[in-house]
Amino acid sequence: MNWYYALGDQRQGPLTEAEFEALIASGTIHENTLVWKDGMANWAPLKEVRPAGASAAPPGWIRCTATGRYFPPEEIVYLDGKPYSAAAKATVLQGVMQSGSLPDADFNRTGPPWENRIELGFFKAIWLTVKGVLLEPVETFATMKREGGLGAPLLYNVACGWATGLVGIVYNLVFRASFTSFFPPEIRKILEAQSEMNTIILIVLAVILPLLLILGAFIVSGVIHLSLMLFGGARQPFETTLRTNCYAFGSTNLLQMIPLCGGIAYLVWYIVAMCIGLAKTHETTTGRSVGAVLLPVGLCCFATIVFYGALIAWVVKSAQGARGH
Amino acid sequence: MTWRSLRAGEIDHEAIWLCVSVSTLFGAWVWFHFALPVPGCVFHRLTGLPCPTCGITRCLRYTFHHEWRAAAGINPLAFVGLGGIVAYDLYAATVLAFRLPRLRCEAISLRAGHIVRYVVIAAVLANWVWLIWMRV
Repeated sequence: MNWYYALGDQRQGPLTEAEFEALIASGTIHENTLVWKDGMANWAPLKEVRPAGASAAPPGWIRCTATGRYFPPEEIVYLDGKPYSAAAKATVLQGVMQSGSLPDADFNRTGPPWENRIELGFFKAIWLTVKGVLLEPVETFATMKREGGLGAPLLYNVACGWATGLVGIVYNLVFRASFTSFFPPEIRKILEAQSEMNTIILIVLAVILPLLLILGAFIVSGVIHLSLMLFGGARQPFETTLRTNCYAFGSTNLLQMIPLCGGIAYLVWYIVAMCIGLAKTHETTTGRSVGAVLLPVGLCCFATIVFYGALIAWVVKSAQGARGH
Repeated sequence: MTWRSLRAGEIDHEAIWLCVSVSTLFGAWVWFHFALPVPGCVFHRLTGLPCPTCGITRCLRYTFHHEWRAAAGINPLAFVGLGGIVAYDLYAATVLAFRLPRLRCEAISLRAGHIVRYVVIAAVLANWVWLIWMRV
């Protein structure tokens, strides 16, 4: 029986049962690694394939934080509450001297599912990632790969953002006439006069949207990363912030497809997902993470929030006025 | 601060941020060129006071017309920031064109980090006071 496992975007194998067990024992394959063997319909995490025995480590052995390998308790020391083995002494010393922090191997960080899209398939990977970020953000960001290139997260960001943008543009073009009827006659005249120009702008926007999404991802991630540095919470490089932002933005952006309340739902859940995401990926405090996300929002988007608030208040007031008459 | 070559697999920040900044500045120039609408500041309209980012659009517009004094006066921090972007772009273009070593900050001491933080906060607040004082 041949085993295969996913390492980044690459499929590794075939492996014999003994080789497979050895890789589990060495920490190369862990409970969240996607694995497949002859006879299985789809790739699945090791913990689902072997719920009771994902780890081949002897009972009582402890996994070293730096190396990912298992050791007997007498060979483990606890530093900052995390277990390290004697074998990791050189790595620990180097990490402390270079960055002032203890090394932490990312052997549990293989997600989100989009990172394994080759094994899972394009649409299933998107679906699982969206579901994970929206419904289980803590677990999803706690297992998110912090490094590994910008291509995958940017592609996810563009795929989700472009789909949402195109739906929004079509929605706008189809329902514009009904939408303008809600406004008072003087505003309706202005909107109708701009209709032709708006159509051209929307079509151009649909074409250049992927470029705007990529630019936006870099600019927003850059601002948030600077803000996180200001709060002293940036423990990982810029790449980690960009990856977090792409997965948070891409997933929550799809909420904008929901008519009427989608925009507000997106804004709120994006902020929540980013706060959780930064706290988990940078392993910083929630306070710093929240501060880092809200500072740019407060500085740059305050006007937008107030604008939407005023618009909602005006619509409610108009509706009440119309009901009164 | 050290000058070193790019490591294998390391993100090329110079290439990325050069592309991002040049594209954004070009986009802004196109926006102004076609006189596309720029949303006003609701905070300013509601309170009568400028928000900390008020004047950035005008600063950019003055800069594109080479009216340096007006650009610096409308939002000094944004003007300094634009200068920083131009300086970074020149550095990035140079190291990319001539394949030179890159400037990297490997580790910042706690003390230096605190100093930078307080300087940035003070600069933003001082700039905001200036915007309110000048009724931007």
